[in-house]
Amino acid sequence: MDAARVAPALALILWSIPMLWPQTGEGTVSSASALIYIFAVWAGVILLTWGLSRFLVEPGETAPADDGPDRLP
Amino acid sequence: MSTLNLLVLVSMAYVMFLFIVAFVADRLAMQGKKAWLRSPLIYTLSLSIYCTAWTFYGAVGSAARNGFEYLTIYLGPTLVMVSWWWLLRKLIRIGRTQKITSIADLISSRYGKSSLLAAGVTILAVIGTTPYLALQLQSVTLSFAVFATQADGTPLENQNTLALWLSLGLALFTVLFGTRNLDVKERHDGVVMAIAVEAVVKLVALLSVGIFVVWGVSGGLSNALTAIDASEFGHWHTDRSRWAGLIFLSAAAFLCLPRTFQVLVVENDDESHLRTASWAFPLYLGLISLFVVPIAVVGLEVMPDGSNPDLFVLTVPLALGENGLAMLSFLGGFSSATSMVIVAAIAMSTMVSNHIVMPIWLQLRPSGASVSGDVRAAVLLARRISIVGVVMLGYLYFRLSSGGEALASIGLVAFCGLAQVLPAMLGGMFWRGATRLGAFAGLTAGFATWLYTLYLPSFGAGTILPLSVIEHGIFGLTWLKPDALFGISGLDQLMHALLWSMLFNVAAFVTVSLVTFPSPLERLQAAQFVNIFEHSASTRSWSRSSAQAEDLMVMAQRILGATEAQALFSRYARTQGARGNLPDPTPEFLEVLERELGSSVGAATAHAMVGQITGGMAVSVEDLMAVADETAQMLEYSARLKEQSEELSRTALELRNANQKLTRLSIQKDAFLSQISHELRTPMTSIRAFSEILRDTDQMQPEDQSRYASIIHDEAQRLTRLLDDLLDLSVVENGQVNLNLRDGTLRDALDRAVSSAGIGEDGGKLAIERDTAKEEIVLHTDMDRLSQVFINLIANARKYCDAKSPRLVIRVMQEADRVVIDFQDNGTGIAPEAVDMIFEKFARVSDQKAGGAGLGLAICRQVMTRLGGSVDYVPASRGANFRVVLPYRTAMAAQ
Repeated sequence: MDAARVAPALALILWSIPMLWPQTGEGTVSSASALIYIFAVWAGVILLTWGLSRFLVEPGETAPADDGPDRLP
Repeated sequence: MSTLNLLVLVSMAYVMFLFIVAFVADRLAMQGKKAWLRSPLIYTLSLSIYCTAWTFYGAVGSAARNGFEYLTIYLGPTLVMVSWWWLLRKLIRIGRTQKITSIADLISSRYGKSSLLAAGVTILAVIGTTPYLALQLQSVTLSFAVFATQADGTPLENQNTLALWLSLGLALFTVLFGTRNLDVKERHDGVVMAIAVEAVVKLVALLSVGIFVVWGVSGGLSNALTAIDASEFGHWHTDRSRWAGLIFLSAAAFLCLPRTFQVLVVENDDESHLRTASWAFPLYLGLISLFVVPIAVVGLEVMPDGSNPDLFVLTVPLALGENGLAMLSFLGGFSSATSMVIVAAIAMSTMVSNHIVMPIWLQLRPSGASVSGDVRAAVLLARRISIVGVVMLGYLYFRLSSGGEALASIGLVAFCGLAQVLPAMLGGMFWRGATRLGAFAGLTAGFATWLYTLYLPSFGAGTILPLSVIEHGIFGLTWLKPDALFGISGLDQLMHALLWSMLFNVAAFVTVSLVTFPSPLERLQAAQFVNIFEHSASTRSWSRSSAQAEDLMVMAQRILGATEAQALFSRYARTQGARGNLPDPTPEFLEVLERELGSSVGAATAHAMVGQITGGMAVSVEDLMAVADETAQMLEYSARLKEQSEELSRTALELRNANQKLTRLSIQKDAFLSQISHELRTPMTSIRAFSEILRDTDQMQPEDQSRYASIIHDEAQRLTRLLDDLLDLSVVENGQVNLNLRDGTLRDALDRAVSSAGIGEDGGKLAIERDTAKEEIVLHTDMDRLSQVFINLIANARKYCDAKSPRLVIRVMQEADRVVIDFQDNGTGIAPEAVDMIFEKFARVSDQKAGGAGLGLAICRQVMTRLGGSVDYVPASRGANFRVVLPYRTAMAAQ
């Protein structure tokens, strides 16, 4: 449950890192790597949230059925 | 022109398709087949309403102009979705339990149902949304224009007409499917389904263009990445403040935009859908933004200089001769635009009609809101008018602004305006101390700052704000320059406006909240919002109407009693033709229910209770339940008391009766004892006297001796007889006697009686007249007892008949169901005042012939009762007349 609270903060920090990248001169990050980085974080966030959504149980609620998210039409 | 014609045809077909989808979905929903209409997937797709034409076209434009900045617009909502566990779950729970209909409703509901606050948020939303609607119209007309230009080289001339037709069509669609249901809170299945379909079209279109660009044009992923590095934005370069600011802004907008709030909270059917959406919607956003940069890069490369980068998604496939792909891309943009307009119009119309039109309408009505049916029709009408009004306002803005601005910037201006709601919203959800005045102050401050620093300047200098104000500040005060408040310049205009407006907003909100005190209703709502999970333990997933009926049922049961309430509800359910035992809470039914409740708790309370459950919730149902419970308990308690007191008085009455009876019995017993002692004493006295004489007198004449002895003997016999009679009576009275039932004729019984009683001991003659022929009746009874009765009656006649030549007539009459035997003598009869007495014990008509103990007739009556008949004294013209009645049943049984 605490992981669910931390997840958005983690994502925010990871996505804030591009602000630290140098804007000009030597050592600038190429656009392609920047794109790859951002989308990799994105994929990680999606996977993390997916995992959390499967395991988080509301107090007083039964665990979500295992076939819940998979049983999409 | 053929391409254009085809385009028009395809658009029309697509619109028709959407109509059909919405219609079918509505139909299915009406038939109760909601299962897959309301799946988590549909919910997730409907959230894509966030991605409008601005996203579809504008993201590529933004990427071409500002590099990676476009990503922030998607990162913000992704962060919000990832925060679902502590943020969205709470928001949706609040929305569901408080029956929130819009973001304005949420704010107003939290801050003590303030209608002023609701109207304020609504106005803010209208101002913020109108340019956005114009933007959608513009994007569609622009994309049409692209095809037109491509087709015959001349720009599309009648753009305004196209936009007008589009607006009218969208308004029609929204009115048809957005206000279909009479229940204003009912969810819009048709619309949501259409939005979900459009979401798929958007995604497929953008992905197709992206895949075409990467694999078809650039020649593979790595080539595409190399091309990106080689392009003019080959290195990471973003304005850092904008990167952070825009992430915040888009996150705020995702929560505060009326249309996203509508699908996220209001249309949410099941909280568990959020579980899926929490990862699926970020995935959707990621896919939507995945190919934006490659498209922009290829667009910059392929398209001639000066071409609008906002339309690269469309123009790149066209330029490369991919007309089919371009058509798909056009449909994607068209979908984005139309779905946004539809949902925004629904959300806005709800707000406008609920918080602006209805309050005014109710104010103008002289009678107030007491007529329920009337109000519902009015709400629906207001909503329809509001939809048309909102869409037309967008059209008007489009006409006035006539394009010009880059698409993305209008969107951000709108975002910034609506983000002003965020502090009041989050503060209301997490801070109990937030007050209505605080929220109002914060909104006003933020809104004013946004208006002055961003919105009005966005029209261009000199349009609304005079040039002098833009350049030198209002009233010539340079520290009030719209783009450099307090002399702080150098910031990007949007960031400048965002920073100051949010700063003023939050500062005013917190300060005023700290120094003001909330009203009781505000406190209650604050507690319910902040501690929503304590206040609603379980998620209710029924539709609202049945939930209402359920609530009403629970309440009614507590007040009317379970059986009566159930009977009332099922009776009404039958008249309504509804399935199950719960009727729809129609106004008629509520009226009936209110009346029923009114009879128990009073009209005013009943009205308030029904109103609370069906209308706005100033006090929670639980609170009402508690009240109802108490009332029911009081009623039950007083009913029990009443019952007990009735029982007590019944017992008291029984006791009084029993006491009276006992007293009577005691008197009877005393009388009986004194009678019997008297009866016993008389013979005893003479026996004692004569035996003393015999003992004490020495020389006594033998005849005297014999006389005295015979007296003693007689008296002893009388005593014996008396005791026999007493014994007999007590046996008969107590029912201990065994009847010796046997067959015999009435004549035999009478013969026996006449022979044994006809001739007295004194030899007195009694002439007896009989009709022996009529006496031949076979009886099945105790013949001895019956004879005893006859003997008694004949003996009485002999003893008491005072005629010179006594005569007794015995008449037998056979009636339908009984045999009647009359014993009539020719004496003077019994005096009327004595008639009542003769069957009592020890009753003697006169003392003249004190032959018996006075028990004879009493015994007769007891015997006859035992035999199922009766013996009575019947007044006759002359003489005493006793009538013995035997039930004929006894006689028949013998035959």
